[in-house]
Amino acid sequence: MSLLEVRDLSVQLQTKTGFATAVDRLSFTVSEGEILGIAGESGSGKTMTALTLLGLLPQHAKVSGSVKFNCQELVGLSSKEWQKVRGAQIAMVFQDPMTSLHPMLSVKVQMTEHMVTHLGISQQQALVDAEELLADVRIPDPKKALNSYAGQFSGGMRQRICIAMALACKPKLLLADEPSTALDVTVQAGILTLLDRLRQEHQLSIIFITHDLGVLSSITNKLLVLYAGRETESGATSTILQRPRHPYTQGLLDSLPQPDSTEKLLKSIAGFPPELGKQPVGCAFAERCKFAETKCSGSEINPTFLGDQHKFICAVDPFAESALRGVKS
Amino acid sequence: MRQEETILQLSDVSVTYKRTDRTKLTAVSGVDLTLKRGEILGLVGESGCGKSTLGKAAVGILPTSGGEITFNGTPVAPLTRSVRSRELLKLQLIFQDPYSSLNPRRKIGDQLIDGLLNYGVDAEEARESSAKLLERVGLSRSTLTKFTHQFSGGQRQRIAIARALTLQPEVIIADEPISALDASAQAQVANLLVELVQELGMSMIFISHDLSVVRQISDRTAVMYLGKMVEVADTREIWEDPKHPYTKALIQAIPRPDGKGSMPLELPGDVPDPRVPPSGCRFHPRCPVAIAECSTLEPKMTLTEARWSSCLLNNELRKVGS
Repeated sequence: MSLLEVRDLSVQLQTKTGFATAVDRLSFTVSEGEILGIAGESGSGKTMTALTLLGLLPQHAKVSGSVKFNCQELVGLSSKEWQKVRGAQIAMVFQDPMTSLHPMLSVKVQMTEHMVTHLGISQQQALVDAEELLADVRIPDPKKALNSYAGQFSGGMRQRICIAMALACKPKLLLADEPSTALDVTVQAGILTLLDRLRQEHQLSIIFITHDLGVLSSITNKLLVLYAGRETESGATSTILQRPRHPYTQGLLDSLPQPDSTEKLLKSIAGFPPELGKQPVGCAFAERCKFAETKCSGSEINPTFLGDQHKFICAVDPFAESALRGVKS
Repeated sequence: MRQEETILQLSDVSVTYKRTDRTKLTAVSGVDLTLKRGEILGLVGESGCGKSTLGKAAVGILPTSGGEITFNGTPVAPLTRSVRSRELLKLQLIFQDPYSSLNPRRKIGDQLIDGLLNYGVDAEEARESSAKLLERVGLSRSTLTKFTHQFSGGQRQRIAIARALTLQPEVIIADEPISALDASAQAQVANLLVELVQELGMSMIFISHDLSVVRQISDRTAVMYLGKMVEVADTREIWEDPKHPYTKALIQAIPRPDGKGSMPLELPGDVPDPRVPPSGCRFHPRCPVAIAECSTLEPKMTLTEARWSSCLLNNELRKVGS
């Protein structure tokens, strides 16, 4: 039984012209101690998916489908019920540690508040635990850190504090939305190592959201590639990065800087993703796809399932094994 | 063809900030760097290493506290702004954040023609050439009469690039020009800069913390650490065989999208406080291969096997000690 089971999750946001679909019938699962990566450009629905799992969507958003966490249905929870889940069982680390910590409150205050609320422990106990947590995420001199303010730490250290805060109530699932994007590569490597260690030591499940395929490659077991709010491809990270079947996944891989290239220009996928709420019927990527045919638009495209839980949604399938062999020979 | 001709030369440049508490912070300390005509030089390093400060000093908008900077033989520093030579118009800077580098309350056309008007071009002509530049960077003419809020980050950065080009610069210094942009816009803006440099025969210093992009677009790469230059070499050489341990650490920290699940290597510790830089080699507290001498002897940039780097282990130790 998976820790998290998401079935046909759709999220519609209210806009000036009516409701727009931000997340379109997503299904995925996360097991204990597993790291799921969600990849996609901005506007692909990555962050909206995470906010749904925390019950933090805008007030008028419509959610349908099912999100089962630890056998509990999360869709339709009241805000009182959400308070017992959010922060306690599912926690989040945000992208920018410069803005997600309060600049005027000491680390101590920010770290212990939710521990006292959720765990029902005393302030003294919370302080002792907080010190341990800070040591666990490798903050030098945790005692001093507790009495310091966000501005006294570097970006990497702030992100470590945010991670310690997220872990304070011993959640089973951690959502990490671009947690290393704003950091230098050397610092990023430290954060990735930390998250991987925490996963092993605490059997923590993590949903790691980023557009950086390099980061996803190093830390995730499973990948879900999103485009315009829809799933395009999912499966084991190694399979997807080494043998992608969806042209969009291939496009993302191609647009990474190519180390051996003598060409100075970077490749990019031409065009822009469709606007929110204007996703076409059929494949949303069709108008930017160089393999697109008429069958790509107008009607729903059935997903193809391969072994090893590899799944993709493409009517043309230009990278089918046979097609690949044809190119290679 | 004229690749070897130096167009911008920085010799022993230092920049010191005086802070409000009267302490001094030397952000750039004794840096030598040359930019050759027609080349793209990537300048990399962690945040706080002084790369942006160096970029600003190189165009003369930050006063230096030591050393000399010359552009085409004309001194850029030490100089005060009031006696800035006309020659220096050919040296332009592009800023990191197009959300703050463009004025939200002025029409884009008015912002673009400022420079030209200042130097005696008549308004009609200035508008015309600005419109052409906007078209060249992939925007329409109608942009002239619009305001910045009507554009996305990528489009704003294109406008900022067009503005830097109005005075037909020979050298542009681009300070993190793509890091404030969306992933999909980054490649497009980086490509635009490379194309413009090649097409207009310019030279560029591309300052960035994104090493993979620098690897792809730059001819040479310069690596800074805590205000000092640690290594400068051909981009290909630096990647295949980094000579300085810091360069090595930076390269090993980049996660590889090969699906093999290999973890990038962490460089322990934080960048030290630049007000009190470590003695000897500034990198020694974090360096995996440091020896005792590294904490006392300050390494200089030296040429070993045709490669510039500043690491004691690269120069035979005995010679340095004597």
